[in-house]
Amino acid sequence: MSQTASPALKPIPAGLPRLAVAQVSKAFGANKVLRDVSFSVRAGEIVSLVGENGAGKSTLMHICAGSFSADGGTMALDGAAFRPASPKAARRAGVALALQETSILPDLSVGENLFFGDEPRNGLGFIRQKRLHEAADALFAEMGFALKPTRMGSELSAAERQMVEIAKAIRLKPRLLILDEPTASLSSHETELVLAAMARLKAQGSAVIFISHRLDEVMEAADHAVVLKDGALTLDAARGAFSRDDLIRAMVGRTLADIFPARPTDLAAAPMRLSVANAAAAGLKPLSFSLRAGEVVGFAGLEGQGQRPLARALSGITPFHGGEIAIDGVPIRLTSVARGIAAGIASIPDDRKHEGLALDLPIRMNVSLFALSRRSSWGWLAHALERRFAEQARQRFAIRSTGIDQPVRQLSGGNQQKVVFARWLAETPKVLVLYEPTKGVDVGAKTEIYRLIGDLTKAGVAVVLISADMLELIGLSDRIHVLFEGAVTGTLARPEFSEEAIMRLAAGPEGVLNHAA
Amino acid sequence: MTAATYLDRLRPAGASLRAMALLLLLLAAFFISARGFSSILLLDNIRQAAPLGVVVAGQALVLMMGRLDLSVGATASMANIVLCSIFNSDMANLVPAVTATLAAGALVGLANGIMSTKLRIPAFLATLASSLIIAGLVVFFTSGSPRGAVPPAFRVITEGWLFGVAPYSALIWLVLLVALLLLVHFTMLGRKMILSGANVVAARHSGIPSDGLIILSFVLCSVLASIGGILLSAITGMASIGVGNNFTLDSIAAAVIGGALFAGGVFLPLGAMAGALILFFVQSLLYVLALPPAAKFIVQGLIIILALALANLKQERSQ
Repeated sequence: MSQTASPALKPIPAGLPRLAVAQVSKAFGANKVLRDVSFSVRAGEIVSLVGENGAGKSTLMHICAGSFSADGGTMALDGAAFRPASPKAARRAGVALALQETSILPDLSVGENLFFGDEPRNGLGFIRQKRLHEAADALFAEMGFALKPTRMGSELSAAERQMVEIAKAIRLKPRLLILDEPTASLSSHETELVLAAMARLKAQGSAVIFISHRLDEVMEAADHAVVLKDGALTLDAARGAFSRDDLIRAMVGRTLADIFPARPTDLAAAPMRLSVANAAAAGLKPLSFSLRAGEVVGFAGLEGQGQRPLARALSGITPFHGGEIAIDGVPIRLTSVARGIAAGIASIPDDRKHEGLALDLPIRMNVSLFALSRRSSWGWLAHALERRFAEQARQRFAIRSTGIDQPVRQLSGGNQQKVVFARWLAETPKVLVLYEPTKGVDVGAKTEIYRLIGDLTKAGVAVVLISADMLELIGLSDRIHVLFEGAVTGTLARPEFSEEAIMRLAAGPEGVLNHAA
Repeated sequence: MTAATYLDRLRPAGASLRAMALLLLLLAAFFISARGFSSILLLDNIRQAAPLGVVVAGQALVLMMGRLDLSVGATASMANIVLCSIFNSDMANLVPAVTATLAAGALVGLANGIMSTKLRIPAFLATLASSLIIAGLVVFFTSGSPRGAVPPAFRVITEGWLFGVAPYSALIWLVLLVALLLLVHFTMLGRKMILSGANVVAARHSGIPSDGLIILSFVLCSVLASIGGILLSAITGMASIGVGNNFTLDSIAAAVIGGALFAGGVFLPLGAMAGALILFFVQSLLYVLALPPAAKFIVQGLIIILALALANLKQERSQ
């Protein structure tokens, strides 16, 4: 392992993997993110890295790409010890990472972004713009991307930014390409292009690691699947040796039937709880849908297709324009959060740290707002009631903590999310709006939240579930509406549910990229 | 609820206790330097610290909302001018003089609050602007040479002692602190203010009318600054330009020493009281030691550093 000779000067033994990761571990403070993870990827192989949010995938990839250093374990690139001190060092060794959060500079053209820091220059050091953009054009043509290199970074859609990010990494013809959720914002057509680009690199002898949440993609493209759960490796299997169910079980540690509550088969007789007719909002075209008591309606879609405006309008944060909203048949004007609350809407935000919690205040103060204000609107604070309510909430929602006076900041993501639920569910609402309810939540807490949702629907609560998590949408919903550019492009009933069906509708009429170009 | 849990809930926060400990150390140094403890000397210092103390309470309230008020000094100075000019040394003008002074203060607070919420101007810039405008208006209306004084009978509020044992100004300070304590920690309104101060976005998304609560905190702060100005006027006895200007920075320093956080969400009345007393006793101690006035600023600076360093060390250990 201690040899220092450059692998380029020495023929690489045929049996050696491109990258071998052995017993890598990493902790942030007391939080162990990776525990003795070992896997390898060979030249000409695509490895798919799968796992839930917070399972440690991104951390592992950042270690491979030199952004973090591992606390323990070793890595070898083509047989030589590999310990990149920085992303730059990793790139020099031939390891390129395309990030999920893109680093596209808004004031540069697509071509300039693509060649950033490595621009073709003339004798005086000036950038040769024409040659740069021609080279960019050629690269896009090869990859099949319909993108003009002269467009500005600021004009690009989320999908287009992601494509440029991937092209940036591919341009380097890396020995190992790492893609961190490259397809999260892409339609099926664009996803095909990315998978094709990966296949080309593979044919040229590169190794590819890609992180994905979409199991269909993994089944289709991966020569090898590696699954992480809570920082440990739970599955490492070659193509054909694993099924979708194996992946899911390795990701969450149990089968789907144990995670999601059983759905009642017929709710057609239940009373209508929420109806939205022709209501539009900024970023949202006129929309109509309705929920019966006890129903869960899911909203799916690629990132940024109107999910956020919908969640905000339903909670009264930003108003709907026009249209009619009725709860239990009574029309309501949803012009403020307070009106929404008064009408019986509870709403869980996606960004709990920023929009849901006062992190430095104790659990007690975070959970008790509605329980207290319903009993003493501007009056004296009922301290005894608050403590009693907080203790009950801590037990009912299984909030793991040292006590109700512990600051929320010290809790794990899942327990913080339970605090948000506890505040909003002080009294059973009529309508519950959930926006990414399990983002950054561990599997245990996730299961508890799903069970809670199941219990609430039994009590007649209508649930609007806006989520990017396909498993969650399919597992919980009675009906799924798919959003594209702020409009519903299709609705699926429970028997029709599949990731593929959702993705087809999510791409819109022609696919985002074609549409935008 | 048992008496024990009730007492437990009333236990002051760690930051308040640290400020109190610092104060006790300072008092020990002070009385050793003054060669012997004297309750009269202690109470007399508290009496003189009351104007600053009242202003600090208001500043701490605004800090709890995650904002900052740089206009309290100008507001207290303005209160002095308004009070003295309407009083004109005649006790018969008591009601209009005090009412107008408090109303002027409330108006400043309203303007600060509206600028900081509806106009979305950062609070420290909004209040900096209003402090400049107030100071300018004062000079404009008095032509730079203010007239008027408070009547001798009014000066009893800072010079007089209840039953000869408790200075009135200290009692006024205490009553105001208790009122704020009750407001913030014992009413639903105060709870909504704390939630709003700790995370304004989350508060709005839970239907709390945060803008109104922020405006309220600015109004209360400016009214308290005016009361500080009134108490100061009772000590000095006459109108003069800029008498309360030191309150701006002193009040922020005292509130921070008392455990207030710029991030908001924290209101510690005991800490605010200790912070004001610490700043005042530093001054008295240096006077007793016959050190030059410039030493006051240096020592105050060192105390702020010490207070914050202690708070941060504590925080790190708890994480």
